[in-house]
Amino acid sequence: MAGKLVKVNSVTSDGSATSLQVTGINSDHVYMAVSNLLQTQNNNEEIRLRVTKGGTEDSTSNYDYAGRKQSSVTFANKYAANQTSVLLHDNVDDANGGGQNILYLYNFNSSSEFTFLTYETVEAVSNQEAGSSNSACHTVASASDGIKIFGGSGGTFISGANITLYKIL
Amino acid sequence: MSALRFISETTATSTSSLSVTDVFTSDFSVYKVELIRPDLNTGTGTYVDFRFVTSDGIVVSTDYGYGIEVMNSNAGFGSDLNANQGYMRGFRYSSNSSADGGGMVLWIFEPTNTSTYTFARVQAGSYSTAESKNVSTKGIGVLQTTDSIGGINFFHTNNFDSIHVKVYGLRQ
Repeated sequence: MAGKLVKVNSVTSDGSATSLQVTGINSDHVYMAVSNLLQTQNNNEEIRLRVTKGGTEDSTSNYDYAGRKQSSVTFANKYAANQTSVLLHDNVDDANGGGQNILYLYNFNSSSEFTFLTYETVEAVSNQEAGSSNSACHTVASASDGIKIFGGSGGTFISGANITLYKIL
Repeated sequence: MSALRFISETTATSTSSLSVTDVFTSDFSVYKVELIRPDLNTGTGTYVDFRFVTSDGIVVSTDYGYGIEVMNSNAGFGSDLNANQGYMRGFRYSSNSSADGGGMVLWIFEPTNTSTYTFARVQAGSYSTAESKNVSTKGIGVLQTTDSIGGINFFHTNNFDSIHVKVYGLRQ
């Protein structure tokens, strides 16, 4: 099985989900997560991320992130420290598909190291097309076993919004 | 079986435009496309760009928006961003040497979904012997229509001596 992308877990909204969570990280491999159709009923909703520990989201103020926003109208730096979650998508339209992303997850299984992720996004926004390239860190030396994605305004993900977790062998 | 499923491999020579068709289907929502060492006949400081393909042919309408960071190894970072274009920006190409060239990876989202746009993440690297620099491009592109997309077209103002494309679907 060496050299393969192995699906670990996948969650799809039925149109009533206010969050999407995948767990199952239990080894020292690098993992990958892919999300698509991250769209809610709220226009310009932020999409945010937290890591899970023992299956439960960690909402403590220990998230740092830094990246570069790329869009059809402007570029900008995006960064913050000591946050209660990671800003995954700045804002997504309530139509046309919302946000999509690719995440790589590092050191999740380590109980003695911080948890890291890199992520790239692309999204439909009401007045432009946008995305970003970033990394983030949960500055707590304890094992994480998954991620949870949710709308910053508590929006409900449309039917078909999906996140899938893979182990990279 | 890997969740990243090989779909097709296409090579061509002596052409300025290569369309890889019938590769995006309802089987997958997410695809990975690799452009492997495109070898251009000539051209310095030009771009290999891309467009999507439907059953009616190449989408040339001005419904593409993109935002690409252009990063040079001899300093001088820039951006290339545009709305309402007839293409998406891809890979910066310079000079024609047997050694230089580069590659590009695209992640394509929701191409066959007729309720959404079609989205792309772009990352590429090339080396310009004429300009003595590595150039990286990284960014996004979106086709702002809900057409069902079946393929992708790579093109340049000059001929490719050779071009090589691989397409994979991601099982979710």
